[in-house]
Parts: sequence; C-alpha cells; structure tokens
Amino acid sequence: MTGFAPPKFEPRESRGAASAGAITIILATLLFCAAGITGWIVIHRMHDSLRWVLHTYEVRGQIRQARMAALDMSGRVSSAVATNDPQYLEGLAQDFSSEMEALAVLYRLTGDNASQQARLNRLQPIVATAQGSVGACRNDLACLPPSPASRKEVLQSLWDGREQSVAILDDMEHEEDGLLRLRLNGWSSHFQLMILVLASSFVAAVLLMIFNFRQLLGEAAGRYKSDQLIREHVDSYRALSGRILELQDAERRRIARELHDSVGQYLAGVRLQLQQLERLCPQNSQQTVTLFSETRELVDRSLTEVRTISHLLHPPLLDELGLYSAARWYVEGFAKRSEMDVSFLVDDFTGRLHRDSEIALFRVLQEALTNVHRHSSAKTVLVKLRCKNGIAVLLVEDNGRGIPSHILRRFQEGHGGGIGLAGMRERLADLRGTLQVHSDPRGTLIQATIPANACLNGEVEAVEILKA
Amino acid sequence: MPTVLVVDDHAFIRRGVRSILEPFPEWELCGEAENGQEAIQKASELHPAIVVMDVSMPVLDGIAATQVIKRAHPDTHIVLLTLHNSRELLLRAFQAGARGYVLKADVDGELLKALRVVVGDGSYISPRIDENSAKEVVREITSKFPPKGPQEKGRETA
Repeated sequence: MTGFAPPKFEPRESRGAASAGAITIILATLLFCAAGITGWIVIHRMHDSLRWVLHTYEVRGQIRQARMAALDMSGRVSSAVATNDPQYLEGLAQDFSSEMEALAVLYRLTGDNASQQARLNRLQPIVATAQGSVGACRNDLACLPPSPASRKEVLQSLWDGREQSVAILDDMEHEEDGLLRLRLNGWSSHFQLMILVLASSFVAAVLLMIFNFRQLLGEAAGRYKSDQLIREHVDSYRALSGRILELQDAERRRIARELHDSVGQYLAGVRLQLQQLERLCPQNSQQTVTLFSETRELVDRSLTEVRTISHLLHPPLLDELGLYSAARWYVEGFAKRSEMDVSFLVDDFTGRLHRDSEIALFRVLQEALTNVHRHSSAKTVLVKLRCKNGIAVLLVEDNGRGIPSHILRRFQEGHGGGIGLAGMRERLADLRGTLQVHSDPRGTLIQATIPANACLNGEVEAVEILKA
Repeated sequence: MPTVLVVDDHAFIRRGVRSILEPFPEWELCGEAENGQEAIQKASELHPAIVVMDVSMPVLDGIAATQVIKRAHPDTHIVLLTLHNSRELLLRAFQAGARGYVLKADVDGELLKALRVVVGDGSYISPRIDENSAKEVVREITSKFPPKGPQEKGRETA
C-alpha cells in the first residue's frame, strides 16, 4: 500500500512530570515554612533590640535628669551664697527629689549592668553628702554655717561633689552611649536580615511560580500533542479502511474480469467442441444422446455460474449503464435467489453519478440486502432509489427482527472503519455522503446518501415494482 | 457463394467456427487469422464477403481491425464475436462498422443466422443484449449510416 505511513508514537513522560510537580510543591512548602520561621525569629529579635534601644534611651534620659539636678543644685547654692540672696535656693528641694528619683529609676533600669550599678553605688553617698549639707535649705540661708569661711567649705565640698557626680554620670552616659550604638547596630542588622529574608522569599516564590507555570504549559502542550496523535491515528485508521475497501473493489473487478474472460472463454470453446463431437459421433444409442445433452447442459450451467459469480463480484452493468441498471439487475437477482418479496422503487434516477459514488452506493445495497437475507428473517424488503436537489438517496427497509442492540450501539457510536457497514460509512463520508441505520425489533432501515451533481429534475417518475 | 474469414487468437474457437460452417456449403471458409493485424492482411489478400472476428485479441483488437478493414474495403461485412454482453461494446462495434454482435457462448446456435442477416446488409444483435439498448444502438448508427440493403432491426427477423 503506497502512501501510507503510520504516525510515530512517542509516549508522554507523564510519570516524570508528576514527580517534578510533587517535588516543587514540597520544596515550596519547605521554603515557606523556613521563611516563616526565620521571619518570626528575626522579628522577635528586632523587637528585643528595639526594646533595649528604648531602654538605653530611657537610661540616658534619667542620667541627664540626674546630672541636670546636680548642676542645678550646686548652681543654686553658689548663687545664693555669692549674692547672699535666699531666693536662689528656690527649687532646691525639687532638684534633690528629682535627682533621687532619677537615681532610683537608674538603679532599677541598670539592674543587669554591674558597672553601672557600681557607679550608682559610688554616686549615692556623694548625693547623700550633698543632701546632708544643704538638703534642709529652703527659703533662707539659715541652713548654712554663718561664717563665710565655713560657707566656702560647704560650697567647695558641694562643687567637689558635683564634679564627682557629673564625672560618674558622664561615665554612665558614655557606657550607655556605647550600648546604644551596639543595640542600634543590632537592630539595624536584624532589620537588614528581615529585608533579606523577605526578598529571598519573594524571589523564591516568583521562581517557583515561574517553574510551575512552565510545568503546566509543558503538560498542556504534551496533552495537546497526545490528543493530536490520537486524532492522527483515528484519521489514518479511517483512511486505511477506505483504502481497504477501494483495494477490495479493484481486486473484485480484476477477479471478475479474469474469471469471466478466461474460464468463460474455455467453456465457450468446450461448448463448440461438444457440438462438433455431436456431429461427428454416430447418434445411434439413447445413452449417447442423453450423454451429449447432459454434458451440454453441464457446460451451459458452468457458463451461467461463471457469469453470475463474476457479475456479483463486479457487475459490468455498473460501469456501463450506471447505478440504476445495476441496482435493478441485482435486486431482481436477489428476489429470485432469496425468494423474498422485494419492491424496487425508483424516483428521478435516470442520470449517472460519479463512478466512485455509484460503486459506494452499490456496495451498500449489496451489504444491506445480504444482511437482510442472512440475519433479519424478514418477509419483505423495500429498495428505493431517489435523486432530488443534488442528493442521491438509497433506502433499504425490511420488516425483520432488527439488528442486535450491542452491534447497533457499536455502529452508532461511530467507531469508524472496518469492512462492513461502518467502513462503508467512512467511504461515503469521504465522498461527502452519509450512512444511517435505524433498527428495532420491528425492522431495519438503512439509508445512504451522496451528493449528486447529475440529479435530473425530470418530470419522469419511474416506479417499478418487482416481486419474486 | 460468400467467402468467410475467421479471426480469433484461440485455435479451438477458430476450429469451432469452421465446424459450424462445414455442413453448410453455401459458406466457404477462405482463410484464418490470429489477430487484428493478420486479419487486415488476409482481408486485403482474400477479399472475403464476411469476416467473423473476435474482439479481444493481442497485437490489434477486433474493433480497431474492423475500422481499418471497413475503410479499405467498405463492402466487406463484419460480425464480431465476444464473451461480453455489453451495450458499450455493442455501440463501439457498430460505430466501427460491424453489423453483427454474437456472444461466444451462443455462437453455435446463432452464428449462421447472424451471417445470413449481415451478408444481406442487415444487422444482427445477440438476443441477450437488452432489447431497448439494441434498438437504440441500431437507430443511432443507421441514422448516420443509412444501409444500402433491406433493414432488419434488433434481431434477425421481426
């Protein structure tokens, strides 16, 4: 069979695709979990850092408060002594309480910091001493010793105390500054880490999404390709069936011709020789006469058989006179052979169709009538040929017991191809025709149609009815 | 006494025709040929009144030979023998100039009748051919080529 090559079959790698999909999902889940956990940890640390930063700010604030109080305090006393004006002493008590307050808070806040606590411990007595000396001063200078020399001493000790306090507080602040810097750095690096985690999660998510998308596209393409392949297979199966039927018909035509032309020829020769024999032999006995006549009858019957067989294989009428003549001849023969009641109705079918169309319809007629004869147990058959509006229609209807439902269903579901009616339906479809089968226990109707440009819209309606 | 030339690629067919004509001295078998080419040659040499010729032969078939012989010797009558009961073939045979169409299966019964009719300028068509087709062919041909002698359409007589 030339011109026929089956399409190549490449099985889809579905197993691989499925596991790749599973892997990406697992990976994505793990990544998300990791990102989530990391993110939570980092945020927690950031939160801690921030708390510590704020803490340091608070400590620094308190230190400043303490320092301010100490400076204010000594300033007031100095001014009061210098000007001998007690009004400068106003606010001294607040200074003290403020300083004490700050110290108390500082104690609390720096509870974990040993060095700060040590400094506070050194500061405490100085403040106590200062408080001792001028703590009682309110509105007047009576809290101070009367002599200027002693006053100077008090002032001196105040100033010393103040210097020491400020120095200690400066140290404290210095340390807090260092801590602050540390903690700010810490916070900043946590922040950066957070950004990094977010960014990489985002990138990972985008990558996974792209990967998944590509997977999906690939799978869709693969599925499309396999659908394509299936369609190709179905098409080539159909084409194959069509070709088989064509080849079958060509073969039949060839066999018919050879059978008829060679065997038929020899049989005709035998007949001639028989006649010569008859003439040459003395016809004196009844036996001889009988033998001759019987032999001639055998030869005649052989000739008839050869003719019938070859014409059933491929009716020459189909090529020469067309579908109408061939159908009529076949139906007449069928009526005789099957001993059934056959009606043959023809409607506007005097023209000729394309050769392929005629043979396609003729084979449908043959197949349909053969089925009726073999399987239907019908009493009557109607064959109708009609050509109208550019469509030629062949109808074969019987009142038999119908086609078994499983066979009918298989045909209706249109699994095209095969040798019988299904294959013929494909061949008709190639010629832009149709084949329909309706069947139930009351009978079967087979209808084949084919477009016919040569439908004559004549006024003549030839209706012939042939009975067995 | 009309002379007859027999043409067929099978010897047993030629022998058969000879044996059919033997008992009838009115027909003189003047020669035999195996194919269309030989037939043309022999027809020119022997000038038979009638040629009984097979259609399917090698080298040159009966229809082509008929055309050539009729052109060279328009008075020669031709009866074609064939296995095929074919309207197409009948038409082509008569278009080529033959006036007899006999099926080989029926040759022993019909050949003599065919020869008698055709030699008298009539047409003989095997009764196996459908009557309408036969009438149609004869009508078509004789309208173009009116016969010179008495015309008997369809079958040998009536």
